[in-house]
Amino acid sequence: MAGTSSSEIDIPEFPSSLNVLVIDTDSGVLEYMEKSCKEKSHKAVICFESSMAVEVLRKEEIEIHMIVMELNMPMMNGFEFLQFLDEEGFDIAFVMMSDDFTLSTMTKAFQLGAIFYFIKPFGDRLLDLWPPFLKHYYDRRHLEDDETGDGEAKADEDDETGDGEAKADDTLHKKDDTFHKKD
Amino acid sequence: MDRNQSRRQIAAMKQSLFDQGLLDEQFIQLEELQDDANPNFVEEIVTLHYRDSSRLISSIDQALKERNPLDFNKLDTLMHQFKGSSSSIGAKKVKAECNLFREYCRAGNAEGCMRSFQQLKKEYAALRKKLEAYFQLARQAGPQETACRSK
Repeated sequence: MAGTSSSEIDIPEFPSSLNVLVIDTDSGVLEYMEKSCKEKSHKAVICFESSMAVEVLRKEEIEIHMIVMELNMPMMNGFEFLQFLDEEGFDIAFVMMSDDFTLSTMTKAFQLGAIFYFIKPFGDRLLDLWPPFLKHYYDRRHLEDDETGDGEAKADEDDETGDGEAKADDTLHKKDDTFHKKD
Repeated sequence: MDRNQSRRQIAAMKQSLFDQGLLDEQFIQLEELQDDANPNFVEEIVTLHYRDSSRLISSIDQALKERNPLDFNKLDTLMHQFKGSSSSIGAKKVKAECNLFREYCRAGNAEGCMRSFQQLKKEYAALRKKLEAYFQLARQAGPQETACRSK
């Protein structure tokens, strides 16, 4: 709208209470995730098989905001699941977890679309990191939407203010600072 | 997208290192000293640490073998040096094991020393492996990626 040129892009807030699909064969991990999610007012949907997770997504009875998945799942591993998400058009924030922190494995996960990687074993503060990189994920997603013309009004605002790109970059930096400050 | 990806990979490694209590504030201080003029500063410091500390580990191993009786003073002195070196890179868990070892030395507890040292070596090796992976990522990403820009 003309006249409402704010200096900020109107990005819808990502939901503060997330539905998180957790996929792992390890019941200890599933319990930990469930408990951690609860503490942060998120809801964990736990699956000990990949096929269960596929069901949940396809049924669409519950909106999933984030997926956290162990790489080495028996029937469909993390890499294959990412490919499945891509093929079926599920655009959901995906976090890989594994005790494998080799360069090639992590790189492949990110290349296939993971937005983050949790290295096992976990410490206590794992979930403190969720808000910054999730916000970054949502910010970038909406920025890309703007660029493809999905939000025409928003695109106009970008032109007026000219700092849309900078905002996204600042988000990146802020993420790093937040991380450092925590420690 | 590659740069972004690298940043997230490095962040994931770093998060793990701090989240698992392997590193402390000191490591961040080191990163703050890294800049364009010294792009590999942290890796250099860490490499030096592993060179020094591996010699100390051998000495401690040797001293623990001379069991008739154990020279607790000598062990304590060696461990004091080792702890100092570990502190310099922010090796939090390793440092905690050093403290435990020194307590056993002061109590004259040989079994405690042996056990504690085994655990220490495990923590030491685990951190070393993680840091190697971390620096590998950092080198791949380029000098900008690990410099702390909190200012």
